[in-house]
Amino acid sequence: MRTRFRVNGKDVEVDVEPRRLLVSVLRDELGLTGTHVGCDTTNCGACTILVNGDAVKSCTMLAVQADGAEITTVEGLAGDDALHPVQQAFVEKHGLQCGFCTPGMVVTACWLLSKRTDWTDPELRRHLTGNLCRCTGYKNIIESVMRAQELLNGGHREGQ
Amino acid sequence: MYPRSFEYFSPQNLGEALEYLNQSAEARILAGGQSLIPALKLRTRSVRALVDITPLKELRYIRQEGGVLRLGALTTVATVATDQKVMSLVPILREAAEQIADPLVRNRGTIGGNLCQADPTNDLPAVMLALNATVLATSLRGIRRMSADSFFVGSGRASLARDEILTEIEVPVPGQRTGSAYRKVKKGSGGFSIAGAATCLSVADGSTVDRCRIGLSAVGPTALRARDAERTLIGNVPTPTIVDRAAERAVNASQPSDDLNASKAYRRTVLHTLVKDSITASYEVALARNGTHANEI
Repeated sequence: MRTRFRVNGKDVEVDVEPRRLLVSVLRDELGLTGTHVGCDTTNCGACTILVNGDAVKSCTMLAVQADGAEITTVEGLAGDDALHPVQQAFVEKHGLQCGFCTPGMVVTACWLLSKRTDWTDPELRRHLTGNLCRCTGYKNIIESVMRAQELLNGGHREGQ
Repeated sequence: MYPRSFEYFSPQNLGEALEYLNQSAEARILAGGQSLIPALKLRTRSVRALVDITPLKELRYIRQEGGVLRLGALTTVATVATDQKVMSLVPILREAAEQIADPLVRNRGTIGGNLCQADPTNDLPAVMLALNATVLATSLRGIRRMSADSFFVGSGRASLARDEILTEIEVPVPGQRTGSAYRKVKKGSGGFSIAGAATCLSVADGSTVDRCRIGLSAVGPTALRARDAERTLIGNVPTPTIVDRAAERAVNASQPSDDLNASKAYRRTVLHTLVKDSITASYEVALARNGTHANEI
């Protein structure tokens, strides 16, 4: 079935079976392997992407449902020569251990920070419940998102 | 994981969706897909054809009309959890919505889907029972209205004919002197409910409960009304003894099962506390909206 959507600013067209999941089309047809498959059962959030600006689990959406949508994956966040503030903050605050959950964490954080930039620590904890980290590195992840918020609010980068 | 193969149809409007459903006996409805797609992937369910109603913007709305709040069936759980109108008019809906799954699932999951799944561990069925909501089912034959009481008929079974689509949920806006609360315990942050209790009550004469509805989740084949508990409260001042008795009767009305998430005994114990908490919290809100404080009684 012909399906057209925009991913990271580029128009794409794929011919897919209706039963294909969006995450597998992103990874296997379009080569966007930054989006990970963790649990494949709607629990872990490693496959989180933005669909029309909202963070969703791409293992729980059919590729054909993306027809006409505007999609952003983790590959679409950074500029040509600078990391996205959320990525920068994860580097500064060591927001990852094995890194498997990181694409989902970063995309969810970008979505949350696109809505508001006055999140408190407990609010962030509650709003990141859809993303699991099996290394249990949550402390640094929360610190990273708080740091990203600071950067977005005009805070200085470390070393400047 | 892949679902078994199926045909896929994405209608442009409600009329097209209804036509397709009417013509294809095998077709099932796909809304937010946050329960259906995982079930198809695990192959605990399979379908021959899906009508994807997700693009039907005409079913995404929240409107107040007189004493009722009308919610389009495709309104996402995330919208209900953050909407200002919902927050001020029917706060229990928002309270329940923001406890459903996680924010990513709430971004796609719809309130109509949550109800049509008729899964006893879903939260909104019990809340709709407490609110005395009405659901509207649309088919080519017309619109059928039913009370939430008659909508949930069994585990995974809602009272919908094969050619009907749940299009709207009509929630009576609770009046003054009314309070409501939803309390639940779930397994892990995004897991299934162990038990849940939704109460909506109103107060007359400054302290006596004159109307009360209680819905229970995850403790039966479907969401249940706790009618004996309601009767225990109506006409009384909910003292700790009365509230305890009501909670006991709600537990007696429950039919919990043993499963991976919890034992029957644990569900009963948790339910007792949740019912008490939801009654007490509702009563406090009702008194506050009536200008009285609980400690003055």
